[in-house]
Amino acid sequence: MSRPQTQAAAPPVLQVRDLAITFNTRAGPVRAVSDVNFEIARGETLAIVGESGSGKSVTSLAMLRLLPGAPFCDVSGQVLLSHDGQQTDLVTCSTAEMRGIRGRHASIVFQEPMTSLNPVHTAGTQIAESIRRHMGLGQRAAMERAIELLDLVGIPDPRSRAASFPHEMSGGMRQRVMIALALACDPSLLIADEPTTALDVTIQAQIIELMKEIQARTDLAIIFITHNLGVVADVADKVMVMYAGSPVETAPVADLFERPLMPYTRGLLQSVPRITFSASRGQPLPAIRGTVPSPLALPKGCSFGPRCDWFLSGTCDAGTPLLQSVQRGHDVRCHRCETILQESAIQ
Amino acid sequence: MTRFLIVRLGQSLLLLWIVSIVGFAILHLAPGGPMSQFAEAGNMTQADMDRMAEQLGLNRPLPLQYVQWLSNIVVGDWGVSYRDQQPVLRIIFSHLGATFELMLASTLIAIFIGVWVGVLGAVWRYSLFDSVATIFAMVALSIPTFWFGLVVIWFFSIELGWLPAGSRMTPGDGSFMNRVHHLIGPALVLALVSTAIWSRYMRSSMLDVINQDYIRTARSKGISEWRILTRHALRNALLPMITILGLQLPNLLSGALVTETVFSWPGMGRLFLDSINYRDYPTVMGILMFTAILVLIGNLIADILYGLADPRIGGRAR
Ligand SMILES: Nc1ncnc2c1ncn2[C@@H]1O[C@H](COP(=O)(O)OP(=O)(O)OP(=O)(O)O)[C@@H](O)[C@H]1O
Ligand code: SF4
Ligand SMILES: [Mg+2]
Repeated sequence: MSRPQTQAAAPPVLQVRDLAITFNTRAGPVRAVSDVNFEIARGETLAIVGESGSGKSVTSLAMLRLLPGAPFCDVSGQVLLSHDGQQTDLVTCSTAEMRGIRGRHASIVFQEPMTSLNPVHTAGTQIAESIRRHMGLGQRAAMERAIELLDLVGIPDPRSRAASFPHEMSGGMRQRVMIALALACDPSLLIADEPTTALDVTIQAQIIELMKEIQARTDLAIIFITHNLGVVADVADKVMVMYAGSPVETAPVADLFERPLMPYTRGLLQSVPRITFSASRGQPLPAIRGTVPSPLALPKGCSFGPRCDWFLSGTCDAGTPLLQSVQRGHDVRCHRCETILQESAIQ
Repeated sequence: MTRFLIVRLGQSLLLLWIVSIVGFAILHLAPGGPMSQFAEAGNMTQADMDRMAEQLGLNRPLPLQYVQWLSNIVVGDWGVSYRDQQPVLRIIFSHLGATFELMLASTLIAIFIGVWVGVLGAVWRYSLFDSVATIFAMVALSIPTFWFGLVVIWFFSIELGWLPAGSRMTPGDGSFMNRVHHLIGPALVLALVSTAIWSRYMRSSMLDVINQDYIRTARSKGISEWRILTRHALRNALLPMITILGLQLPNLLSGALVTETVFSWPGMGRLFLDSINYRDYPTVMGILMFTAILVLIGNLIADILYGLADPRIGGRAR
């Protein structure tokens, strides 16, 4: 999905600067996410990967301000969205501005297709509602547009499906409805939070194909959150790996797969089954030892330290490593990335 | 649907049968009886009374009396009141209107106030409003109805003189406004407990709904909070309330009994108490069976309505 850098002059669709999220729980404030920085251009796909609990969903919800409000949760940093020739900071803009952007310029598709649609309204009504809200169309015209969208996302017999309730559809079909809903007003950014995790493999492939097709047609910028590194290789232009609430490695997709530098990323890549790798047949897949630390009790220094094979006492536990650029577009958060880079060059 | 109805019918008949046995036993085993009423009246000889007891079948063994009563009611003969020799069903129907009027008015009040208090309590959870509403609901649930009725009469009728102290209308008036004026007091008293119950159920139902994924989806479309509340949350939260409506019926009926007595409201509740005092067995049993049937039908209707309102159950909602 990479394309020639023709729009270099245009500002990126989305720029995220120092995004940090703190939940004020009963046990005190919990910093769930910090130091998130990335940008994404038109037609580009950024994949966010990381273990469960690494803060992927929280990050995506925070971008559209869908987390619980002020006393429960604090969000800081900037989320700059370009639309209509201007940039709006989604962290600080007014509620009215936010509502004008949600569903219109930036949309989101959730992980759970079974519960993300309202059970008492038909698919068509739910899509049409967004169109009426943002496009100022009447009920009838909005419904016609909704039917077109259902057709676009590959739902057979869209006219009668528009009158169906969510419980009358399969999971895959509901996720298509969710995608139609997200694309209803032709947004410039789509956030897809594990859109295929709840679906079976063939349906997964179809949904991913659909998203690629739509992107090719509309120049949509996509943030694709997933556990599945196979999917990442398939859809992404850039990858951001998250660990314990922070990005630990950001790189163009080819770079990341060829030359992963952060030990955590390397662990992730090694734990992907590879059919061609016959030497390891019959052997268990190497998993990263240990578990993700709780955001309440992050280890001193590098948060990956206790699980890291490269851990060097005195260096790694001395201070939190900063994200540093090792190559153009390839950033790593690791005290020892230079060493690792040299060793991987020798191999 | 047919199968469901048949099963429900069977269950209902069984239940009615049990209610009739228990009711009959309690009524007849309680000390005193119709004959002592006649004796108190003092204008009958012992021979008259024996003949009367014989006629009414009161000197036969209890199980036989029960079987007699049951076989009559099965063929639609609800018996004749001891008090004024009127057919029981006719007496019940002549008191039904007043009770329905009272129940309807108080249910409308309870739903309207209860739903909104519950919804706002859920939306502004742990706010001052929510805490105050919670305390009020707890207080309302623990106030005895008769006591609250007396307080309302004392305050609004005697102290302030705003409301009439009882009965359904001023004799000789009976205009709509006059009836409404008389209805306010008892309707408020009867509504108190149901309002509290509605607000609690509504709050928890609403809390459940506003944390659902589809509410987040609605929010991600950029529609207003008001529209999310009314279009997306309220309808889902109200669905289980339909069942509460059915379950509330017995509560409402027993509340009506007390309220009607306190406010001298000429309804079924007061008739029931009067009939018990008079040991008017046919009327007491008649009212008991009638209200039991009412409750069962009410719950059946609630279940059917629930099926119609929820697209996931039964047919389509439209
Ligand atoms: N409302 C909340 N209050 C407190 N902590 C929260 C809340 N929501 C999320 N968290 C915490 O934020 C962290 C990140 O959660 P998040 O759901 O973003 O993970 P994720 O990367 O999306 O995982 P998964 O792959 O399982 O979806 C977790 O540690 C979680 O406990
Ligand atoms: S900083 Fe040290 S512990 Fe952390 S990932 Fe790098 S080598 Fe491992
Ligand atoms: Mg998630």
